[in-house]
Amino acid sequence: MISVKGTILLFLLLVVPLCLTILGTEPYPAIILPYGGGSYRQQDQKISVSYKVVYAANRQGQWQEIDPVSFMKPIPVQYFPFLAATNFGFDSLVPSHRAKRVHRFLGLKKKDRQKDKRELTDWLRKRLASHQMQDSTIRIVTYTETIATDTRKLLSKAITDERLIQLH
Amino acid sequence: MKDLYNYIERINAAFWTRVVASTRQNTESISIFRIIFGLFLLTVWGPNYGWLSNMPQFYFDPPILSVANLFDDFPDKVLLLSIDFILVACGLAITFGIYARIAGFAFIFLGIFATNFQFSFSKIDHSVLVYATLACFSFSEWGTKLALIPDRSRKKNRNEQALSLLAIFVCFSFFSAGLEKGFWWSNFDMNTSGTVRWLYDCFYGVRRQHLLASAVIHTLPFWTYKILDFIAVAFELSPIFFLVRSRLSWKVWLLAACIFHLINTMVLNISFVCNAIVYLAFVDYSRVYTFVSDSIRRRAPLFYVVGGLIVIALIARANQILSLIPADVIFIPRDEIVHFLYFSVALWVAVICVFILDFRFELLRAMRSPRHNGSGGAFGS
Repeated sequence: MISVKGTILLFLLLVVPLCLTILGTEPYPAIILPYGGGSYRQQDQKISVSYKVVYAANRQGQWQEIDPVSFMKPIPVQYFPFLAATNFGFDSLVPSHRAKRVHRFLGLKKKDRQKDKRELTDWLRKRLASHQMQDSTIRIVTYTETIATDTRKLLSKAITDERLIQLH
Repeated sequence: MKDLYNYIERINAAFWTRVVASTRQNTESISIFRIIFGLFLLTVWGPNYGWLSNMPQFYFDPPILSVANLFDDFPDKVLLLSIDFILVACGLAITFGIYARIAGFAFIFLGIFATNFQFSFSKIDHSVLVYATLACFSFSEWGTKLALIPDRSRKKNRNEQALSLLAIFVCFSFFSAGLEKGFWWSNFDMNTSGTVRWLYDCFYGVRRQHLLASAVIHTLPFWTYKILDFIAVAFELSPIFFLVRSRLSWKVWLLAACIFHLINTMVLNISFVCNAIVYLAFVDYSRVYTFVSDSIRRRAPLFYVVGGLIVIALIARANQILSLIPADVIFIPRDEIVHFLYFSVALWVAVICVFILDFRFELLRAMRSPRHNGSGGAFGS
């Protein structure tokens, strides 16, 4: 049996990390499972979905899609969307306003990693070369597909964002 | 004031009494679970971190509230490889019962320490319940039986606390997942759905298009997802009620959780196999204790099968660690996603079968118990 004090301590141990997570600063370790509470809205029986595809130029100069699993190996594939979202780490994820406030309050600061940028560039160039691609550029394209929710047919597919990462 | 404190104390005692009644297992049962847990670490969920030393240091960006932030870079290869081998040794020690308590704490400390570095890639994975299970049981008597070098029995048996705390951790983790969904998904706007977001993001965003993903996304009408939104929220916010209700209802929820993971594996291609071992902690293994104990003593075929599996697992783990590739299941490389999913489906089906057998036994026991003759019923508390 756990005493009242023990129960209160347990409650705090569980709830404080959850509150920090809600504020946008998930600590680790914490007893938390994936939350993902966002939703999609259908309008006029249509829904829009965005996703990123990474391309590199092959030896003939044509853009070719990169398989994220083999390209990022040994980084597990579940991290790929986050790396693509930050242009393979060249940009940092922008924390939410709530997270920024928590960081300021706790006096926390992200480390400056600029000095290691050269190493990352070389690492990505080697990856491209090993995939028989030109090692100078990576292209990250965001596609937005509109799908009919009743027939599930693809109604349109458009490029909504495009970024070129020059590796030099 | 004293009355209030007494009242709170009574409520607290009543709450924990119910939780203990729903989760209680004897030392024989949790000793069997220790062997299953150790085998799980060796064969199904064996994290390794040596590969991190080959990553560009620019990727070193751990969560801001993480011990990894005390470091400037990814640790050295020798340190990470040493941690990998110690983790395997801990898994082996837990399986055989060689100072299982110390091995458990060492696994937690080193595993969590190294995992912090892995979360440098802007995402925190949620396998923490495995560590929570190990933490809870490392305080228990699970290393005192069926052990080569048994832990010393403590005067105060902490088996009940271990299982009660673990049950609370499971309930709270699901609550944390369901809370935000409850705010945003629980509405009657038939044009919005959170399940659709999970499904479409997985299908298009991360290309999780295997098993039943395509069939579900192309057949279910939109309104069915709205129903699934409500079911998901109710399921994730409800475990605490099942836990305090009765032992049988807690097992019903655990069975539902396994089915939930099986569906997620087939539709969203999110397998969460690590949670299987957490739920298995609540199964009563005391029925097979004599069989396992005899098999070990008489060197029965089961003894050699498990021994062979351990030897193969050790060779596979050593190979995975030295090749500096992250791994989970032995024999299935992490990038072979379809094979891994098939394995996950098989695992969840097996766990569901175990829970059905266990549930049947609990139901029979509850029906035979004198209390069942009263008005409470098998599901009553």
